This record gives sequence, structure tokens and C-alpha cells, in this order.
Amino acid sequence: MIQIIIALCMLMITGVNVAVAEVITIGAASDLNFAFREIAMEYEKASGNQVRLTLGSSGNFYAQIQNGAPFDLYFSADISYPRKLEEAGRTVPGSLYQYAVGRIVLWAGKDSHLDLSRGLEILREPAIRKIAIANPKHAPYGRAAVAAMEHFKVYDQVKDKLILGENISQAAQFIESGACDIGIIALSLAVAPAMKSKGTYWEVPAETHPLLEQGAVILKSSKQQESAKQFLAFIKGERGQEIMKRYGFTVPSAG
Amino acid sequence: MVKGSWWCALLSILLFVVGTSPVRAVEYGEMVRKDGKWGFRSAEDPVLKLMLTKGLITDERYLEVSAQKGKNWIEPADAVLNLRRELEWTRYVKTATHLPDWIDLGLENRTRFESYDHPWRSTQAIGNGGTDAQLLLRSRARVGLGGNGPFRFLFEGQDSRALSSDQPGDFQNTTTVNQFDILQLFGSLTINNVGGSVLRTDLHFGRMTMDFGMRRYVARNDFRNTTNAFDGVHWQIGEGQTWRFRTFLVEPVIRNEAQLDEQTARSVFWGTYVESAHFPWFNVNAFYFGLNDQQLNNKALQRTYGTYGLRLFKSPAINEFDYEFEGAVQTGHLGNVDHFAYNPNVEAGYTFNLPWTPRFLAQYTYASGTRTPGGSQNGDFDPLFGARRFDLMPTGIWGPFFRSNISSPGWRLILKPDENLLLTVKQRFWYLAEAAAVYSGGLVQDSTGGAGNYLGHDVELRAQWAPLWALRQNMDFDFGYVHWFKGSYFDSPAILAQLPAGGNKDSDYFYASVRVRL
Repeated sequence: MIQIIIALCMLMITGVNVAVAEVITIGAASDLNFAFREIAMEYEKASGNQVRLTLGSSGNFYAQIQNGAPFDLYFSADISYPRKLEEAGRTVPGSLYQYAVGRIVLWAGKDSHLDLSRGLEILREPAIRKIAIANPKHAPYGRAAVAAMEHFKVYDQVKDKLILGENISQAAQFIESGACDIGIIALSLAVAPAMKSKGTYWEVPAETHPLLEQGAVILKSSKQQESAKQFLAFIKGERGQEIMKRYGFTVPSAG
Repeated sequence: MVKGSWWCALLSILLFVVGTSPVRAVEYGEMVRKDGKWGFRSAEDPVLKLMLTKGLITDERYLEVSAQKGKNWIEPADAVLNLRRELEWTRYVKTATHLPDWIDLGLENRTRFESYDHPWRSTQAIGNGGTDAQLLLRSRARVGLGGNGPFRFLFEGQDSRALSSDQPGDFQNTTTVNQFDILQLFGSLTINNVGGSVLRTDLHFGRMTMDFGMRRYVARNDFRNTTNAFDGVHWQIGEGQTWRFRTFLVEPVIRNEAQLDEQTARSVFWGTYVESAHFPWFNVNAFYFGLNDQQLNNKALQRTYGTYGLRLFKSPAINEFDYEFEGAVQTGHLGNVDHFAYNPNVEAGYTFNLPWTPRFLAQYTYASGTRTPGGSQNGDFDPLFGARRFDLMPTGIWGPFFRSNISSPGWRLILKPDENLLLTVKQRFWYLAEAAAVYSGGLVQDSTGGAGNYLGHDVELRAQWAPLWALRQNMDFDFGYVHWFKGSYFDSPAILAQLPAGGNKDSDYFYASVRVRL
């Protein structure tokens, strides 16, 4: 034990500096949390560039970019935000790319004993007191959750039970921590290794809510446009697509 | 644990603080706007990041451990017994040794320098108002088995010692020194969704530490160098953050400075504690604590108390008022004398939406004293196993005021200039509730009451600093300074005769501490 601590210390003390070619800053929707951690690591290894990753709600990033936040790349869970930025002339022309289509799931912790195969109908159960979703005001996954609940005609009955997370990651944390009994989150979070063992999920049929078309743009204000293009190319590439698929995203076919 | 290893670990982390060059790894953070300028603020743990860069852990493990923060932490077995801040930090050693999730391994060291002048305790023989300066070290190691349960086991050892405490008159007792001892050793059972409901229940059996409510009457001591522990059983049932019911039956552990601590069947402590958070503006705690303490052979000091209490509060929030009322009434016997005492505590505050988010707090504490010493009724409130640092003053080798025979109005201003920095300014005025009763902070008494009851007032400055946002739970610093303007009570001849030389002069207290958790 002591040797390990000393080894740790020595590692820390003798840290070797690695030159970093360029740093790109990415604002990405929270549903990309786990997928992008993996993608960013792989991209760094492949390119030598460093990635600064900020995860949050698409709507908040849109507002920040409009207020001059210095992102190089913006990955939104709702393609309409990057489209608006494109229309406003804030993006590199031709950089808009629909990188994925997202899915939502009903998710509950392993200990919940809830029969998720009943779908969204189960939300009516009196035993369920708190339901977590992302805030529909600025999170596309929150809007999709509301639409799905309306489709199954449960929304009016359960709207008082809703607890709104700042983004879809926070909504997931609410359930995971036991603060909420159940919730509607992104499939990409439910299948991530960090959460897979902690809960069970039921896929909400895609036709019950507006398509979660996710889009990315390179921002005109970026000083690292070449590196940003490189990152986008990595996402479009074989390895990037493989990772995205593994996290439950439907990716556009090559070509 | 070899002392050198602790210092080695501390030095390593300090190197981070003073700055290391960037390493190649994805950096996670948030975009923040300060003074009109946008900037990227890292939310990463630099130690984990370095482990990854050095190949000590895999990408997957890095992501797993990074996710085990905040609401995703793996709950230790004592999470329902103690405050979360006591238990939650990133387990570096566990991560580096590739231990599985069902094993909890944590190491902690706090080193604190303390110094004060003009000692006032009648038991201290420092002449001419000399200075007592000490270095207090508290090291803890915890090993847990069972992950998130249902069956879990926890061992926590603690070593508390004081260096430079061997001068004549230096303050030293089992509140500062308790070498190599077992702080917690228990097995627990956790059942979620009891009978298909949303309730959770936990049963703990063995040696444990406990926090209740605001910790005025039962606490796992934080500032103090040694920690209260109990042997017995604790049961709780509750619904998430909404309500819970706790009950326990234990024997308090009697600390011994150098030998292994033990409990005695001649001292039994039990109680129930109910918490309701149904209304955020009206949280309610109600409690009863029973104590039957016959451990001392001196029958006059044997205690049989029932403590009944109520706590009502609203937590602070920006642009809102907050309040707390906690009151306790104590009945029973001290020896063969009737005991009746009470302790109301009132706080009212407001948090302003201004730079540094100032929160102003008015505070009042009253703890009854004995009106007629030597009479048929004892009125000195007994603080049981509570903590004092959070609302009264620093303890350690300082701590001149107890929650007993005291009347103290005051105010407190708390500022947060930065995410990593908390500043506190406090002033309290101190009076004896009963002039004729013992001033327990100095173990002096003028049973005629002629000395009056004004003990003076103190001004306290405190800075709590975590140098790196991402390391906040693993390393922090705490600095404090108190000036105690001693009151007329200490100048009276009857009291002056009982004090060490210079004990009536104003006292200054300073401390600086660093805590590292691995």
C-alpha cells in the first residue's frame, strides 16, 4: 500500500509534459456525454490535438454562442439550433452536418421493481411520485419526452410529478441518485457502461415523438477551423460512426 | 501509514496546485462568463487525469471513476449515519490499485497548526500569559466491503495526535489525542423498496459514528481532533429526501489517549430522531435522546437525562430569508439532584444576490445554568455528544465556550468570492446564563455571583479554500483567527485567583490546516 502511494507520488512529481498541437473547444449536448468522451479520447490519440469538452443542454449552448461564447464546434441534440446559427451567418459555410438521430427511453434503477414493459402507462402508478425529464424549454430530449407522454395520453395526469433536469444528464442523475423514481432519458446514456449496470430501460417508440435529428456546425468565430474540420471528419469516419452506433444513435449512412 | 507517505502525497498534490504543464487528455469543463469575458473552466480531476496520462488507469476506468462523483458516487456503508461531506471524495488509491467497486478504500490526513495566548483555564499552569502552540494530526483509513449493499461492512481507523503538546500547561486530553484506534467497525443491511413501497431501511450493528440534524447534540466531530463513537445498533427507515425515522441504542465509546478505546455497560445512550422535509420552507426535526451514564464512581457525577427537542428550519437560498430554531429541554437527575435544563438556539439570515453572494446571519444561543449552586436542582445544560464549531467558535485547543450556562447573541457574514473560497466574519457576545454557576470553558466559578456574567466578545475570521475546483473534495485548506476581548468576569478578584497568570488578558487564537484525502 505504502509503495503504491509512493509510486503515485513519484508519477505525479515526474509528470512529463506533452506538447499539444491545438486545442479545440466543443459544446455538446448532454446525450453525447459518454459517446463523446470516448470519441474525443480517440481523436486526441489520432490527431495529437487536445479537446476541451463542455456538455450541457443544446438550448443553453445556442444562447451562449449567440452571446459570443468561444466554441469551435457545436453539437446540438436538435438540428434546428445549428440551422438558426447558419441562417444568422455565424457558422462556417457548408459545415452543417446531421451527425445522428437520438432515441429516448423510460429508465429506472435496478432496485425499482417497476415493470417497464408496460411502457409509459406505468407513470400513472401512485407509487411513482417523481419523474425526471430534461427541461423541455431548452433541452430537445425534454421536448421529446413531453411529446411521447402526450402521445400515450399520460402527460396531464403526471405533469405534477415531473422534476426537470437542467439537461438530460442531470435528469438521469436524478433517477440514479434515488431523488426520482423513474424518468425519460436518452438511450445513449442508458447503454453507457457507467449506467448500464445500474438500471433497466424501455425504448420509447420513435414514432411517438418528433424525430431527434442532431446537428453539428463549425463556428465562424473559431480560430481552429482546420482542427474542427478534422474532428468533424473523425465523427463521419468509420471509427466515429462505430462508437456512435454503440451508444444507441442512428447515424446517417455514408454517402 | 508511514508519515513520510502522507507528506509525499501532499507534496505531489501541492505540485498540481502550483501548476503543472498540460497533459494530453480530453479536458471536460464548462464555459463561464466572468466580468463580460468568456472562459473555459475545467471540471476535471487533475490527479485522475494524470493517472490516465501515465497509463496507470485505462480510459474506461477513468470515465467510470469520473462519473462516480456527485450524485453518482458509490454510497459508503455509513452514508445514512454521517454527513455526506465527511465521506465523499474521489478515491485515488483505490483507483490506482484497480480495486473493484464493491471495495471502498479511503485515506485521509488533516494537519493543523494551532496557537493561542493568555490561557484562561484553571487547569493550565502557563505563567505570565504564555503561548500554547501545537501541531495536531488526524489520520483516518477506511475499508468498506459490499458496494451499494444490501450487506455491507466498514472498518475505519483513526489516529489523532498532537505534537509539541508536552510543555507544562499545554492543553491536552482525549479531545486532542487518541492514538491508533477503531473509529468505526460495523456490519449493515440495506433494503430498498421495502415491501414494494418506495421506502428504504437500514440496520447498522457495531461501532459507528453518528450525525443528527444540525449536530448540536450528537455529532461525528469534524473540527475537533478526536471523534465521538458509539457501540450498538442503529435503525432507520425513510422515503428519499422527504422524511426519515431513526432510532438507536448504543454505549458511548470512552476514549483513551494511548490505549485501545472501550465502552462500558454502565453508560447507555439511546434515542429517536424524526426528520420531515415535506415543506422546504418548514423543515421539521423532532427528537428524544436518553442517557444513563453511571461510568464514574463519583455518584454525584452520574447522569440520567432525557433530552426532548425540536428543530424547525429553512435552508438558505439567494434572495431569500432563511431561519433555524432548535430547542431542547433536559430533565432527569445528576447524582441524586434533580436536573432541569434547556437550550434554545435561534438563527435568521438572508442571502443577497450581490457579488460574493453575501449571507448575513443573526444568531442567538442560550444554554441554561444552575441558578443556586449546591441547591436541590441542577440547571447546567448538558450538550451530550454535540459539536460546537459550526455556530459557536473553533474548538481544537481553543473552544472557550460550551453549550452550557451560556447566553450569546451574535452575527455572522458569509461570503463566497469564488467557487473555491468561503470567507466568514463572526462576532458573538458571551454571557453566563447564571453568574453564580460554573463557567465550564475555564472551570472557574464565583458562587456568590459577584463576578457578574460578562465573559466578553470575540471576533472571528475564517477562510476555507480549495485551490482547485476539481480537487475540492480531496484537498482543502482552512485558516482561522479569533480575538477574544475578555469581559469583566475575568477581572473580578474571585475569578482572577483561579486563573493562570495573565488569564484575564485578551486572547488571540490562530490556526491553519490542510486536509488531504486519497
